[in-house]
Amino acid sequence: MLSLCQRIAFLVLSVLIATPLVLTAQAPCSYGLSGRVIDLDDGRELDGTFVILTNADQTQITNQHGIFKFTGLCAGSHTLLIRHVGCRDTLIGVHLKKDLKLTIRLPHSAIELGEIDVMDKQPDMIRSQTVNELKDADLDRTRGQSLGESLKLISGVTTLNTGSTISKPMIHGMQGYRVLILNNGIRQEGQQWGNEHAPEIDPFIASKLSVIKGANAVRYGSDAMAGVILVEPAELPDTASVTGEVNLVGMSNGQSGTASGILQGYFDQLKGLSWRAQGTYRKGGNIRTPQYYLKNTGVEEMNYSYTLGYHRKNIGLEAYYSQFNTKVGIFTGAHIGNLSDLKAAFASAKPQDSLASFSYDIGRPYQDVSHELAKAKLHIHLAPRWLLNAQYAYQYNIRQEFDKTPPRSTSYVDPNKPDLDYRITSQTAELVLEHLNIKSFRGQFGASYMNQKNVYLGRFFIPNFKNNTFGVFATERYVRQHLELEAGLRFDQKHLQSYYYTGNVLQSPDLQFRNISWNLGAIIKPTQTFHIFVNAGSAWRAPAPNELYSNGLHQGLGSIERGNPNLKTEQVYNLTVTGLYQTKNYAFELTAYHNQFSNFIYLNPGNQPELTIKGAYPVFNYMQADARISGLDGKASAVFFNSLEITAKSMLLRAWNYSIDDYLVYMPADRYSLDAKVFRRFSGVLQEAYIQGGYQYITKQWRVPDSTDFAPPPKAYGLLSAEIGSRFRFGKQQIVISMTATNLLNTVYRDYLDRFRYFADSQGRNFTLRLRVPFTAYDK
Amino acid sequence: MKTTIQTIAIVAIAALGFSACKKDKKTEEPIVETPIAPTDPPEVITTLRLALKDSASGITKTYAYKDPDGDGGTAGAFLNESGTHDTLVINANTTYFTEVYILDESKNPTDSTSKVIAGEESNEHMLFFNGNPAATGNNGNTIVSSIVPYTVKTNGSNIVIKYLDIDNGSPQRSVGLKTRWRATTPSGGTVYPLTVTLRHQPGAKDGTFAPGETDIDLTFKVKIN
Repeated sequence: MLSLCQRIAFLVLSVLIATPLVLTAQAPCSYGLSGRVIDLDDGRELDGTFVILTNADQTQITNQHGIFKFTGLCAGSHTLLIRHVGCRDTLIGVHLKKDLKLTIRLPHSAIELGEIDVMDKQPDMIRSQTVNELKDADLDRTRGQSLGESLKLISGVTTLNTGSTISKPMIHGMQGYRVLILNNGIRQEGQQWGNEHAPEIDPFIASKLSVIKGANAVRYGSDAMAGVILVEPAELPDTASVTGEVNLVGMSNGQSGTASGILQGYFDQLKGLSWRAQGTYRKGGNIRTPQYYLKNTGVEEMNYSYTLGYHRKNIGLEAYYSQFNTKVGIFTGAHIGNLSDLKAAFASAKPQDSLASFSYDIGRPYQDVSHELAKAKLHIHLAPRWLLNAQYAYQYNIRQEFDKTPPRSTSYVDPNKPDLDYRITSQTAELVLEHLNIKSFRGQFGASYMNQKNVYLGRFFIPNFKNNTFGVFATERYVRQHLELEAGLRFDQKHLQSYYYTGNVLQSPDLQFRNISWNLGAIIKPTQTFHIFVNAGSAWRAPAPNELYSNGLHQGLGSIERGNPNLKTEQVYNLTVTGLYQTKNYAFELTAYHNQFSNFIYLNPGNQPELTIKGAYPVFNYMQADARISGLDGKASAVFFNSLEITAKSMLLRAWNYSIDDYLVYMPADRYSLDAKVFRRFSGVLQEAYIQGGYQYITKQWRVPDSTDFAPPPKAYGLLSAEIGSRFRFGKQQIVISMTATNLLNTVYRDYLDRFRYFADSQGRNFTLRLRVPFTAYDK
Repeated sequence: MKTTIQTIAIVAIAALGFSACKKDKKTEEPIVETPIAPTDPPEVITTLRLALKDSASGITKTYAYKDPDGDGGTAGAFLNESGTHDTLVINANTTYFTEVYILDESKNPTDSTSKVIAGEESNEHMLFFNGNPAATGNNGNTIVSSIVPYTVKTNGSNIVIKYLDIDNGSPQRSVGLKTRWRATTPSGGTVYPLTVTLRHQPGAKDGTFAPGETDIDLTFKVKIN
């Protein structure tokens, strides 16, 4: 998959990352950093605010006057994380040359002092929705996994899997078109239509993964029905330096290795200019279930990205380019001929093509996917409290799928030609005008445009199409001490022109959709520690080309899928209520949600299998129904004796299809988890150590529609995991190391939302060794 | 010095990233408005034809299943010389030499998949004839000989089918494109099912039904006079 040139590029990048490990001499560590945290809106001093010095891992909590103080700090760059209940976390970079006193205004701030700069420039919209974040230590725990698997740590997020290497994130039981992924601020436009099409994103580009649960159409686009996943890189450095980080991950199951590096810097001669280069390489072989290896389940991935930034007082510019390349083997035993093969596969105890030995070989069938993203972004402070953001992005996605067997026919010219070959080109542009705090009001007005074209080169499954979408939105927020209110409105128009053949006749249906979405929200803050978030909103999406026009055999799924050209707009009304109670040692979060759908688009199994020359195939037709999905996500955590943390999570979900008066198919089963972590901080070379154990229980999904599946849902299962980790410090050099064991008891299980469950068991025991080395090559 | 390192790093990275590493997959991209015409699709099997030659009279009767547009689209149909018909009619106590043809008639000229199956890929394929389609695999038969020449007796219709061709593997195994059929008992008006299955078993062919996947699976009917 990788060209020689790509391998060389990667090698060069690795060397560049590794060379600057020579450290600069350590400066005396005797400086003080103190400050006061106040509410931006009313100047109130905020007590109980966590002020975390992330690079030294020290935490202070502000007193009743909002004051905090650190002492004995080294000269140089430090990062402060300000965390206050109900406020979005704010990062502040500080360059320490002398004792420093700061005034920090929460929740959002413009520049306060010459020495500090608020890094979090992302507009914080729709605050009345629950945002769950993975960063720092939590994100470290997911390194080496795919994006979908990483997000599973968040309650309410599950995945739709094709084995353990292809994983699509699902929010509240909804996936694909209904989940919007923002990759570095750009909506990810790949080939989302297939259940075995994972998002084409390298999670290593992110310093933070966030999930906003609930319809979020107004700000991000009318189709953000289930929620939004934000993959956010760290801000570029803003003081003269060259820093970086190396991540190495090894996994026993699949014998996979991942190496990822970041190198970034800021020029001291060219003020305001900063840069970053990042790359990841990953290779893994056959996955092992508790009893056998699965043939052809290897993966090879190579990703890289570059960022160039320029920041001056009132203007910021950013250019970004990234490429994602993956080659994923599909378990050969899961590739079936017809319905009888599938039944036979399900009846057999051990799948076909289960192996006794390990291999890295990736043969047919496999997927070869590339995704390219180039983006340019501009933000200008037009006037005090007025900001303008403009961005443009270009994305190009190639998805090539190779069937299990190359063509047999003698006339076939190129047997290495992919059987399915789709290329989608997307261009997006967005303009947002934002104002901060004008008499307790803040808001955004914006417009967005997307132009997309899709072509196929191999076998027909979805048509060629051109898609133009235009949207405008406005949102305002009213902020008081105990209450925040917000409202937003959006209008979108979509034009979809498709091209395909019926027999030899070219069809070119032309469809127009337009609709409104809205949201209303409130945050009620009776006390500093207890907040209630209420959000109601609507979202809609036009039927997608595969839902309208697909017609043929979905090889990977062994089924015939038929689109329905008469599909109408799908609409959802969502209500999400979250209660949050948070003190120093306790945190409780409960989210209740309800989604009411009209014209929910789904694949409905046909009554009669269709006879083909290959035998009988199940037929699925795209249909629409009124439906609902509602549920509860709960999380509770408590810290005892400053050294024991217990976390419990639960996720309950109910879904109903009104038109057939039965359950909705392919919804996640209820699940519960319990984790306990014992941790201790030290002051020597060993700075911190922890040991953690967890148990996750997934119930049987018996809420399925009658007799529509090839096989009954698998039984409930529980998985035990354990982790041990520590952080070392040699002078200024930090090293973070951890060892994780998942499925510790090597439990044999199958998951309802894993398509391989018809054929094989899920992944067995896996040990993961993770090493993270942040470094500073040079710091003024 | 530090700036020099930084500059070199950026120039090196940028040069590698933006010029040399472009994927070269963008060639031959079609125009959105004119998708690739359906006359140039990848391989598809449209037709399975059975030719039964009566060894006594020398007359050959053919029966076929045709699905000209492949899977999906318009459904296929069973045909014989006189039209839609899925029932094979044979005489008891008569020997038939049967040949199976597997074709892609969407190509011009017609593409013969059975030639490949008989030739270079014969060690990857095996055809099965099964008297009871409800039974999984090859269980609708009595296996008379599991070694070369593979021989079965179909349940119900009681046709003894002996394989006449062998593959290029080692050890050599039967293929099933050429077989000899002989029934001893008239069916007395009863019509029995007869399933023809082509199994694709690359690297796994062992003379049994189980390995691999199904390429063709068609159920004809058979009447014995």
